[in-house]
Amino acid sequence: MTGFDVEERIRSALHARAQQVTEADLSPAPAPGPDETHCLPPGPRWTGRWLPPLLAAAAVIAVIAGTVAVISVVRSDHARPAHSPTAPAPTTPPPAPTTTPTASPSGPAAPTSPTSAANPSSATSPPATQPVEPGGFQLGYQPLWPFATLVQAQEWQVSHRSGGHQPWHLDAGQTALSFTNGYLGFSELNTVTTQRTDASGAHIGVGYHDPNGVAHTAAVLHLVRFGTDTDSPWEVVGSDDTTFTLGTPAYGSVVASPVTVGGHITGVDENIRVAVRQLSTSTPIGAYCCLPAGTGPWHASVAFQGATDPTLTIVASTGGHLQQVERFAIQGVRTR
Amino acid sequence: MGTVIAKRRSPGAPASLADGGGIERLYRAHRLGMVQLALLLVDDRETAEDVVQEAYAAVHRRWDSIATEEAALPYLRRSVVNGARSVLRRRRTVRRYPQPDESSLTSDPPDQRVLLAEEHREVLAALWQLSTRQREVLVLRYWSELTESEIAATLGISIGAVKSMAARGRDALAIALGGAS
Repeated sequence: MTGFDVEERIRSALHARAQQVTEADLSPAPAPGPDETHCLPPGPRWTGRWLPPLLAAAAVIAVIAGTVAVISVVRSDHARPAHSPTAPAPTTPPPAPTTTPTASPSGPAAPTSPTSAANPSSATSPPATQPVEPGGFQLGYQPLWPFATLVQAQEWQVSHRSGGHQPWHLDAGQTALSFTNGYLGFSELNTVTTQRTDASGAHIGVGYHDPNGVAHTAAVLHLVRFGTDTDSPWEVVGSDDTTFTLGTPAYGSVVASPVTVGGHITGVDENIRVAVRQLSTSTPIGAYCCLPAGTGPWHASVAFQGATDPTLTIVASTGGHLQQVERFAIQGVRTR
Repeated sequence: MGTVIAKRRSPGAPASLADGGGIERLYRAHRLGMVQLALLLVDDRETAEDVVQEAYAAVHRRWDSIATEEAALPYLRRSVVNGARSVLRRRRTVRRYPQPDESSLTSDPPDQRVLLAEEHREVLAALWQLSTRQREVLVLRYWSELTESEIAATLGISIGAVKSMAARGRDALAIALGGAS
């Protein structure tokens, strides 16, 4: 298809769509006049007369809410001195959701070692050892993204309560998309395809639309609230795998480089790629490419270096038919 | 050269926005086109009409600082594009639906949806796979027929960015449509 063909198809389609609205279709509405209120659509309006007092009231409410939030957190910490935190306080702020890794350093190739029986079920389940957070809170899962610790999540809560910053943390779908687009760098997966919430948390399907507009789910991410408050932010803790699983190493297990990664795959003949990521680094600390895939078990040995975070995310992805990444699975593991 | 706005109109001077007729003319001449532009950006006719009404209201509120009718149209277009982008941002935030697509055409009669040829539906579906900015650039280029510098001014980005986004958008569409055929 030539560039000219594409341009003509775009132009033609846009004109066809636009011409579906004609003058006769438009709702009768007068032009804006001196009394401009009659030209606005129904709904709340912000006029110059009301804006200053409303902004002032909002500012007062924000200050009060922020003060209450800070006092609440301080009192909460003081009220529970017996529970000493085992997780270190964060020294860096959580990464922005729009951060997109720009490079994928390949770790040194490691000899492939046979894997033990791959666990086909990599759905997240609480590991044997749980990181205990300040106040005795236990997440119950590996905190993969966007917060490394409860302290970081609470810092965001204070910030949000006082200034409304980054409200997307309260939206499981947005958090799942930001994790996929920003942290993993799968920019083509830009759609929430399914959403389900149950006692174990939120299960968000992320994926893409094919050229015919049909939605495809690339992975179902598992998220839980990081904290016990109603405004505790969502945290990605794993994926619910079905046709493409990542069960080795086991969820929450302690790993060292090189790590044998494996699972089970059905229905594709594209290559499998594996990356190892940690929150404090924008690029993978280890990568493996590419493992020819067919239906059945798969495994690969992946070397990584520079692991400083207590938690790592292993990502296995496959694709190449419709787009670069069509399915992926993640596994949360620990370094210590 | 556009019509100079004057609080007091000189004899023989062309009609200005400030005389009350300017905004009326702008409305009559460009409302449909602006609704069509908004439709291409938000994919929903009722929302598109709301966006355009807000944009005209913005022009009316600012008409003292808009010097000419020539300047009013780009200001209006910019308001429409910004309003459409805000709508999409709100949709993403509240998760009413994750990605505007044909299922969002709730205000269009069913027969109109049917009338859209399959080849056009393919292109439009592929357009919705692009980033918001890329889609805006392509809509302004191939429907509004703006120049690169006009698109840059409308979106508040550099001409280089317009060229880059247009090229990437076209390439992505070519791949998507080529793969579909």
